[in-house]
Amino acid sequence: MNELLRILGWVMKIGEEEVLLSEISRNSRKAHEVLELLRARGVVNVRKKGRLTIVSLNEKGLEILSLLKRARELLETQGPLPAVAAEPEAAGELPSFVAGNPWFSILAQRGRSRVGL
Amino acid sequence: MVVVVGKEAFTLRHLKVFRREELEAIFGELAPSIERELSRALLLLAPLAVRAQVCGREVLLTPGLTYVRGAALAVPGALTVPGLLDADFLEYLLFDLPRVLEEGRRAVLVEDLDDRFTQHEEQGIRYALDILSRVASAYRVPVVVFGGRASEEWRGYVKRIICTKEEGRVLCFVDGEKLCG
Repeated sequence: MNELLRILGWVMKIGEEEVLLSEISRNSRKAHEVLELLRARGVVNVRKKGRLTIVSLNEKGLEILSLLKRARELLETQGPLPAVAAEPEAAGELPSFVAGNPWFSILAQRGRSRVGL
Repeated sequence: MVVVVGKEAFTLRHLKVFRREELEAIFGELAPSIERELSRALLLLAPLAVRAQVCGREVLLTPGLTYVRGAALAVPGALTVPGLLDADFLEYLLFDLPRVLEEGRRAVLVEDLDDRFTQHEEQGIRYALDILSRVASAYRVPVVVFGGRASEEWRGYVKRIICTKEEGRVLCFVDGEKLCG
């Protein structure tokens, strides 16, 4: 259980960013230990750039992150639970911040005329 | 690295602020090659944290969005977003704010968010917060949003600072914990 909570905590901490191993912990031994823990569960991508080790969540990690965010929403909600989308988004369907948001098309039009494409 | 698209030049970090849907809607058939370029790029920045003063007490602002209501917040050296409205405001957030941050990263202040839209207020506020959270994430800077009840609903804040007046006293809370008063 402790290991599971630690993994979830690190998934939240890394979030959608690319982070340096040294940002996970300045203590190199601890940073490597955390990295091994996350790697063993297959939730991170690790790449090297010179002497730098860069860590980011992979698809599985990002899926866990979105579930954690949903859990946080539920914990913070007072009163009746907000419904999860009744049907999963169909492929190609617009994400919620775009769908039905008139500002998206207005801004896209502005952007197109700015860049002149 | 700078990418020139049509009449404008963008840094990769700036392009990272755009969502895929925005890239497609604005850059059209160039979007896939921009995305490919972004996936290859290594964009690292140390997080920028700043200390702010609320009711004489110090609060640490970390990268991400901080919501402030009813509080006078002193953030030294912060960049204040101009008082633009509607599409001008959103355009500034997506196209101009990142360019200002390219010249020098600092905390960003957005005043009166709830009054920035003369129509479609709710969607506008939601969209502005979405862009601001991407700017905060790409540039790893704190963004302070001064808002009212409409913007308070949003769930993506890293911190909430709320001050109220009760019987002539000012009470300030950070994430629900009393700071002063």
